[in-house]
Amino acid sequence: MLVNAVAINPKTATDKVAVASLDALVREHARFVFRLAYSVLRNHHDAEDAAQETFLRVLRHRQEMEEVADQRAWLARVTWRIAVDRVRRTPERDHDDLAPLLEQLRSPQASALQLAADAQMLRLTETMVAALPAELRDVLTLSTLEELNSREIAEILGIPEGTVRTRLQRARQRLKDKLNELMKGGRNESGRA
Amino acid sequence: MNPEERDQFTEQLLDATLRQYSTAEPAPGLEKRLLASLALAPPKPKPIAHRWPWMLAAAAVLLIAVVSTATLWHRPAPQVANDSTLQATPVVRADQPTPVVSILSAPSKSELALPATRHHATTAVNTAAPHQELFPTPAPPSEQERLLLSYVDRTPVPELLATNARMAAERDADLKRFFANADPANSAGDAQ
Repeated sequence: MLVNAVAINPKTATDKVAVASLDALVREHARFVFRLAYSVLRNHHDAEDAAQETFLRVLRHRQEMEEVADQRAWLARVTWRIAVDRVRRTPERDHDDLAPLLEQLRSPQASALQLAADAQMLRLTETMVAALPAELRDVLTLSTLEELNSREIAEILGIPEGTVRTRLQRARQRLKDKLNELMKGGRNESGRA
Repeated sequence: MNPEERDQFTEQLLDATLRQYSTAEPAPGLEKRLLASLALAPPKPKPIAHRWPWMLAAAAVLLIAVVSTATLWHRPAPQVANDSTLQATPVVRADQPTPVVSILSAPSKSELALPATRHHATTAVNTAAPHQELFPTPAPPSEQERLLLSYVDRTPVPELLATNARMAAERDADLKRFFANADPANSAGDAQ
């Protein structure tokens, strides 16, 4: 198998253990790391690049990694920093024409679930999330990952767990207000704040 | 849709949308690609503790270079004032006319160009005698050399140049004659 054939040139017995644990770490957490990066970057290619950078950092610090108690949380923090750093450098993408979606929102013929499955609805949500203040956006973005609970989000962002809950409520309320405004045919039809 | 229904619809829509917000799945084979990229990654740089012998060696070489440069730059002037062989120089000069004396006593161009701070001790010596280690101890000129010097001193420069040119022409003629006599076959071939 190719994965088993991969050699990271272990020289000592300690290195061999470290490489084996790195291999296990990639297998166990690659998908989580990817999804976390994707939640920020909103792009498959960028998310995979960020995942690769995350594990490269693990490789560089593999001996210190052995001493980390919660490796998943450590990985999440590293991935988060890498993704946020990358998203700052990425130019803003062009958004789809959301006029047909807004028409549907004003006189909905489909259920909420059907609307949510619409790709344009996802684009609209991305636009609304991006328009949130950073402190609310960060909490909301991390909360959309089913793998993370509020304690872990607090750990990644370095804030108290209570603050996470408060910010999450505020972020959701803002999005809800925005959606209501759009459904009523509010003045900002593009959905951008 | 009344406000309550709209509010409920918005709530459901937001929940459903956020549930789908981060459901992206990576392309198949992500783990393999990641491990392959890790295998290709450059090796971890050695910690500083492993590099200290090299750093120490480099520092030592640098120190030696600096000390050598400083030593050469500030080398003290040679002590030549009491050298008995130099005392012969004025004797030679006394025997000969003025031009020879002026050549021996004048400081060279390179010595004149040196900063005064570096060779302040040497400057005084230079006016009296040349460096012993650079110029071997001058022996009194032989009889033939004295004759040549007096001839040079007495003869005007144009005449010296003309004599030099005449001697060079004579040397060339001698050489041509020598080679012509040494190879008769060649000269015969030339004649044909």
